[in-house]
Amino acid sequence: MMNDMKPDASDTAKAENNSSKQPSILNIKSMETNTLMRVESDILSALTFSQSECVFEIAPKGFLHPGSSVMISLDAGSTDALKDAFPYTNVGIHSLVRRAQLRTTAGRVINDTDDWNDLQAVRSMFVENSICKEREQYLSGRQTDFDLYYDADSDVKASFYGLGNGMELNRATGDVAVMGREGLSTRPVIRNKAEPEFQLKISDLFNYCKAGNQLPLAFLPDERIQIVLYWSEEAKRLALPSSSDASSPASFQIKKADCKFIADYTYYSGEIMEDMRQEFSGGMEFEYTDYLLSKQSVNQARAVNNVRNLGGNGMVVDSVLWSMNVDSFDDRSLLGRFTGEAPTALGGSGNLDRNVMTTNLFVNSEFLYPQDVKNPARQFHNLKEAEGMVPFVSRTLYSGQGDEAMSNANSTQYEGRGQSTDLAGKFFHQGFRTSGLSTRVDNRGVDLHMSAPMEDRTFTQRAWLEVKRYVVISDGHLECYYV
Amino acid sequence: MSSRYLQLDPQNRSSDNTYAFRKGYAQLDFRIPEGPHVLDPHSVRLVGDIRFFKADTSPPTELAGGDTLSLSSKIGVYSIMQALIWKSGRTATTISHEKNYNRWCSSYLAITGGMENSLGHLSESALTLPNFEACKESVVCKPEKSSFCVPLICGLLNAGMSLPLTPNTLGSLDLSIMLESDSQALQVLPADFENDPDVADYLSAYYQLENVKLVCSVITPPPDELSRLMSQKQGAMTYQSIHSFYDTANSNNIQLSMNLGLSKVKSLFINMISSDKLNNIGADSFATLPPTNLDGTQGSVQKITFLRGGTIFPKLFPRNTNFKETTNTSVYDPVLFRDYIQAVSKYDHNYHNLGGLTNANHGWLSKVSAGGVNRGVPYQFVQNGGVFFGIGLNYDNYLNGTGVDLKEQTFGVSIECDLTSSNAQSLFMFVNAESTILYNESGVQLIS
Repeated sequence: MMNDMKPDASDTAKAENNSSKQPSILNIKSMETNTLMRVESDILSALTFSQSECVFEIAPKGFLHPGSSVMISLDAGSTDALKDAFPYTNVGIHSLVRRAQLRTTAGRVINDTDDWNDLQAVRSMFVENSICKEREQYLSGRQTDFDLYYDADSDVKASFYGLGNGMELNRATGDVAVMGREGLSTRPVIRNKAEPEFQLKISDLFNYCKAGNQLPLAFLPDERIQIVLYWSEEAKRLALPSSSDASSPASFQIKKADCKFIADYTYYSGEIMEDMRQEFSGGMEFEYTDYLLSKQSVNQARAVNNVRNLGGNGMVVDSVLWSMNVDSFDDRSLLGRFTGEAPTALGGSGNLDRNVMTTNLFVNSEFLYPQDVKNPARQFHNLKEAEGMVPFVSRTLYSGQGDEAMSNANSTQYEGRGQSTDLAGKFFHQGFRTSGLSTRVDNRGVDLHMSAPMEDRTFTQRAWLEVKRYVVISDGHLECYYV
Repeated sequence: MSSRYLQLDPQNRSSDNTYAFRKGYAQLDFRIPEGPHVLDPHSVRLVGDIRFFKADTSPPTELAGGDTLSLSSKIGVYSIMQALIWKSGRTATTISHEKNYNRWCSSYLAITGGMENSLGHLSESALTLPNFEACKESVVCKPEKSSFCVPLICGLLNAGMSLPLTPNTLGSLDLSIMLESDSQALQVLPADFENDPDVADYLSAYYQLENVKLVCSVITPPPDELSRLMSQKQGAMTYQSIHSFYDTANSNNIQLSMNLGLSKVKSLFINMISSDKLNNIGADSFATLPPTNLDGTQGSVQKITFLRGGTIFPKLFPRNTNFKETTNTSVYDPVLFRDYIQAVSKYDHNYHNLGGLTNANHGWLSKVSAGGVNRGVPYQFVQNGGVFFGIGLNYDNYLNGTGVDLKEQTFGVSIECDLTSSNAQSLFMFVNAESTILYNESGVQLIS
């Protein structure tokens, strides 16, 4: 039943505040049902392909639907150790794309997001757990869903919870070869030996498409749209189970033969197209957003009273997403390097379980918040405000508080990895909603203020500014500008 | 248009920034200041840390793993909020008063959020965790405090309309949060299926709030709109208010009849609990149970009839439940189940809720039993946040959705059930009705 189907992100994404010059036909949300609409799919091979990048070029016909996707699979590898590799549980196969670019052959760049896989570590938190469990683990390898782990001697008492992917916890102990490994395993179909084919939706890759905007290919007869994906390094593309630790870091090759672009084109009757041409003969323009990356290395000392300029000068910034991770984290963990690290453990009478991180944003000569934000639950709320959706992760995963309910015991491990170690406090991503500023950022830019006692490591602090841009299409050409 | 974040301390701020009902803090008062702006209703959050103590000794006795004190795993930190009162600061007129707020939350949160909500984002914001053991160990029985940041879900803010705070409209907004008593907010869990909770060590257990703030954002409208707002002589806002009513019953034919005084009632639901479980630290005071007998068995509902002005309305027939026809059925009546959800959110749009076979069945008891698990699971141990039961009614499908007039005509409900022993039941009825706030130069008025 249609009513029972959960909507896909590209179906439910709220339409951007489009300019009045944007024809409704270009936005799948605001368009009336049209029985004269026709949908056709092409499966395109890459124009160029290597283990560092690939380029797809799309023919100028109809409108490109934002549900179009890139198909990817990885070489199964020659050793058993590599065959058991699986996508990182939070970002899934999104770990493969370091940079995603949507451009025209005339050189106009519509969307260009650097460290896109790290950004997806933040944005994947906003995919509902049930969607991850039922759909995303097969489509993109994202597995963030939770189950209560009932105690072995009780039907009602659950001392712990942890990841849940539809598989049963194995509580049998003894010879692993006979009884299998204790705890939870990934679904066999997403292990590398099954050579699963995954999909990356362009609505995830490009914010232009996330807003529900179709690409009017038919209106660009003189230039082509290209999708350029820069792959992440070959090592650490997938996570390894504990039984494959000796093979770390493991390299995986993307299979050229399976790397395809499934282009869904939408067509309308000639009459509608002609009406549209007439109506927008003077050109059409509409808004969308893009992410600008700013990053720096931060060690333990510099994480205290850290102030950094993120840029954004003269731009209209809707939100800021940022987090601290450790790039050197390898594939012997469930999340790899795609984490948002919480401050160090604290605990003790009257304290919080973790030290606090104080955050604020200085923009247009004033602080966004009247006082620095310290409460992690409020930081969680601010992240929700920035993305307009609650993050679907638990308290232990986000702030690291309440970790008594997550365990490293063998019976609760995931692929032999202790969930408390690998997950607790690893989703501490931060967000600020700045769309309420109403004005563009002044020429000083945006300053990020943060201070936290972090572990003695070198972190990479990545911040993405979601900036407003707009596209102008006239005379068969496309131009992009910052608002 | 521009927005600005506010962070407000309680007006009755304590000297050490801690607040405990046991120490005499029965309420938290906040004032959102008036000014040339409107309040973004979705931005209002209560923020702070909460800590629990085993006994009010000097120094207070801390809790540790293995203790049996807990709070409702279903509503978490909402347990401590007994009532929300919103007033216009200009005239001190009460514009919204949500009594028995935590009881309302125990139905509302269970209906509007499922396991992934309760185990996921609500665990960070409201400290929920839908299993008694995991919740007890990770939230309550520890010496550390826990952070929370909860939306104040209520009719006034849920309506989504911006609340004008200019001097000629509502002026400042005053919020009073009445704190819940410790014996109602907290519970001691039984050690097993056969022994009553050992409350002796927890008679002075209490919770304590720290660093409490109200955060919100206010929006300054564009100049032309602001000018229009500032020069308004009068105005009106309509929203879906929530009204609370309370009654008790001790009969196998429960009759509830009252004049609601509300002219546009959209829906209502009733959640129940036996009266001995209220304000009882040995019981979960936020359980939503059907009538229960003294021996712990369920007084299952057999027939239910809704009335208006003495006639059957809106359904023109009494509902005979599945239990009346098949007394050994294991599940609750599906129509009652659906109507309960439908009273809060449209059933076919309700993708997530905590209800299901595991907690909407006849297999549990309202007390521990010498028979142990063979007689039934004590209600405190029921999975997925606890028993999911309530009686709901949605009037929105009638009279073109304009609401039903229960101002002139009395509302009534008749419930035939298996309550065969003398065990008083408390019925909390929550009514969703349309209300209008009128403001003019002489003051602010609420019309329901």
